[in-house]
Amino acid sequence: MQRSWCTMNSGLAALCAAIAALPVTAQQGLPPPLPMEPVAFPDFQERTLANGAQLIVVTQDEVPYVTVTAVLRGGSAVDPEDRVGLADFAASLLTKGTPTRTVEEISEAIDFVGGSLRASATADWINVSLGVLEPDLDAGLVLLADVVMNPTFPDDELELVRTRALSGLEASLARPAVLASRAFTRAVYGEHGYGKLETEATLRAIDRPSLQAFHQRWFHPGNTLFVVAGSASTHRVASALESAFREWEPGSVPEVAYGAPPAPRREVILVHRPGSVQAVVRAGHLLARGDHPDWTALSVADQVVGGGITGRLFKILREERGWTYGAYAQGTRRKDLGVWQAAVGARNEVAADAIAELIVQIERMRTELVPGPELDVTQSFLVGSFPLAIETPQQIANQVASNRLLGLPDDALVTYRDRVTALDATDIRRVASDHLQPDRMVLVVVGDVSELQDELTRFGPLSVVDAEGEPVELSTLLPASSGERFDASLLRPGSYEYRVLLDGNPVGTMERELVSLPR
Amino acid sequence: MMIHGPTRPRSASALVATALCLLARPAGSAAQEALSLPPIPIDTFMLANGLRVIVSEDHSTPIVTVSVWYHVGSAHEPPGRSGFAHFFEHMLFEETENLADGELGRLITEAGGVMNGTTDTDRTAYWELLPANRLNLSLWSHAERMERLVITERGFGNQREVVKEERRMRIENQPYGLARLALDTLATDYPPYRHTTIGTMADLDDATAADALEFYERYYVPNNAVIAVVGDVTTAHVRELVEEYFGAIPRGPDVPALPPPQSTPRGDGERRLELDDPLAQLPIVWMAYNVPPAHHPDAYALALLASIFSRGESSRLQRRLVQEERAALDVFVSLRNRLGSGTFTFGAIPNLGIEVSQLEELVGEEIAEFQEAGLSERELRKAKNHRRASLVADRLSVQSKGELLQTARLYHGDPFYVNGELERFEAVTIDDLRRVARTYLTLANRTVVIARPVAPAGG
Repeated sequence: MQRSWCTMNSGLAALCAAIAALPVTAQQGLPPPLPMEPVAFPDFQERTLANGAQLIVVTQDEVPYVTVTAVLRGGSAVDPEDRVGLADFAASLLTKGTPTRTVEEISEAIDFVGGSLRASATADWINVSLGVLEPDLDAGLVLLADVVMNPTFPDDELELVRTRALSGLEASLARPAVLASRAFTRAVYGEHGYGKLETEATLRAIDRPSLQAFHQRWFHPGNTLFVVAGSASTHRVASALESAFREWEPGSVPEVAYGAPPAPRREVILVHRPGSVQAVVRAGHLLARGDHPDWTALSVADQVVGGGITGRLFKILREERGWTYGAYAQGTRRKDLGVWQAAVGARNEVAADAIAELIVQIERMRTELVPGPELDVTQSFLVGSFPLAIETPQQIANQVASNRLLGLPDDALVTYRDRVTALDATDIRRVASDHLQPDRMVLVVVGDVSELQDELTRFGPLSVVDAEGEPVELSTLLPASSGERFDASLLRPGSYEYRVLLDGNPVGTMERELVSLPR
Repeated sequence: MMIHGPTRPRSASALVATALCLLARPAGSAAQEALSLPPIPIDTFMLANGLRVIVSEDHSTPIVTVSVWYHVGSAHEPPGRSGFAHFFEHMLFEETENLADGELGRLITEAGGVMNGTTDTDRTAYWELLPANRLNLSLWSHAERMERLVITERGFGNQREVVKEERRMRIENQPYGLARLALDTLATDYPPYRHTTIGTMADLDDATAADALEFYERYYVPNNAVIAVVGDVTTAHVRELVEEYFGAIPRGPDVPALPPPQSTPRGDGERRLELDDPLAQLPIVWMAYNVPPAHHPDAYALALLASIFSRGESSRLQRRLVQEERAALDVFVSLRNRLGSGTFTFGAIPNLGIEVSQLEELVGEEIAEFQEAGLSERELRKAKNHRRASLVADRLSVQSKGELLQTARLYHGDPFYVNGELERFEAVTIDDLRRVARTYLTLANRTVVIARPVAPAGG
């Protein structure tokens, strides 16, 4: 196995990292930063509508374009076990018919003004999004209100959504990233609500009554956050929403029960994809809930180990080794349990070495202090890139909405940069040590079993599965081989004695000198 | 198991519903047509060494994007060096005289910025997006990369492996990857586009560091580059910095021009390739037509035609192939504008149990229908409204504005061209659309590529 000298032992590694992080030379002519005014978090407005819905508005009038997103609690995490895909189908079918509008009328109306009206489901939320030029806002809101409040889920359209979903599932299983994501999700979340995966059987079981019941359960104003961004004032938006949604009846919404995930454990899952010329790797485990106070420090740790072009994984696996086009790691913050995941694609011959290196680098985060200059770059990026994240009203509104939906304190957006700046190397090591668990990572590799299987067993118990996650019987894939390899150094002089048969009857023996492999 | 999705004839009730819908609504959105599209402010200047600079001030957020487009791409590669322009792009992220390996990325990141590069047939683009007070860092580093690049055998060898890995990731390990490359090269006769931008593994292996130096000296010269700066800056300050950092870089020899564009459409007959794709689960069909280069006036009618066929659920192909016939999982139409020749491409993936040949027939029927009957004023208005909304949305970010300005400079020789786009779309007539459909969407000008899974879908 190839290893960089940096990773032989932790003391040497710390020295190596310290050297690597030092500025190499004083760059001739490198200009210092120009002065800049402090940048505050932009203004936004929050309201509660008469029907109980919440409203966030970010108004910027440079471009006459407005987006309105209705975010409703209740996504795929609440899908019934035997009807996974229900939230997804419900979202797709919202725009496929109401008592007063056919599917053709809805699509024609929104397409004619060059706008967009789309609905989608994530694990925790249904998002229904309208994007229109400002003069079309009122007409757009009427459409949005109709599809959110009054979808009829026509049978005919349900069958079309099902046909496309089944085909789409089939097509997606050709993509290595999809196979990796499904295997990883299944392994780390298991029975938890975030672990639900659509299959042919669950998609076939979705029917109109279950869609209507889903809509009845979750689509209420008290369960809705409107996020509006663009060139419309809060006053105008609020009154237009009040008007468009005035007939929306309040209702009560159940609590979301997520279920328990499996205990974290080291496990290696090889998703067999014949003909793969690359191993697509996902490695990770579950993390804390979205409202855990360590998330800020975790985001710094993620940035050090796997964030962009200055992350350790990128620098080592790509720039130093040339093993991969990209290597990244990050924690995904969710309403309930988050997930930490590293991703790398490497050619088959070096896939195992890349995984070994990845494990070493996570272990370093847990046991070593990040050297000062390296931490400075990371904090400087997370704080300094703030203006990039507030360019458009949509970006700002999304940040405000995420803060709300994760249940974070009101001032979290404003204090974020100060909280990042206040962290030191000890804090980073502490959160890495508390939250990152390389010994209990699930390692998913999508690739060709004949190229990868032998090398992967060293990382832990290996299971080989197919695209659907079903166990694969190796004997059906691989012709039985002895494992014999030619090795000239094992050649020894010797002799063979032959029995000579004639028509099956022994008639004598003969001997020849040979070089042969010892048995 | 094979799964058969339902197919049904064109639904009469759906047609009636559409007709009613058309009657019930006014023929245009008066409110929207009154909407003016404010021009993007543009300043330009050129240094004595031939470096062109485009500046657009936008003081709404304290950020700036700086892009440098070198007018060299895979079209300029000599035989046996396919993929070299892109390979070389990677070298610009390595060392310069004053930036050790990895320092460029560290400095931009430390500044709170992000950066990347892309290579196409006609140009290689490098950009940063960063807080406005680091405009100087961005321009200084671009000057380093333009004049003081250091090409080492180690860096070159390493990036060769990275690029080969990129090819595996994007092409060889993806369904339809190799088929897509085949389509791109088969559909055009323009010699510079007859090889792919990603290149072959053999050519990547053959490339040498000496090739890189020669390429750098020939193409990475100020007179073959355009800088666009968009954001919270002033033109005066940009000019001052550009003169300071780039002023002393010597002009290079003139870059040889690409061969002139070929006349389109081709008339030599349909080209067809059917291939097995061991990584695909469902088949795909592409139908690509040669269209004129980007600067040709027909580009506007062709862009509207693409919208009419596939933009939104109410578009012709979405409605027919997806909604009514229930034959396609997805259908898409794209216009690719380039300097030497363009491509107008239909693509479709069938639902389970549907033959890919059926999609080819349906697309063919819709094209014939359009060529025969044309379209209504309302449908034309819809396509134009979509363009208007897109042009407005493009103005939301400095990054997209920078891209618009660079594209206009590359294809039209003039960044100010962006401010006439809406009027040029508005000027397109029903007759224009019917004419371009009849002129370019012909059998003799068509290239069909079909990729099929090796085993039946669903096992």
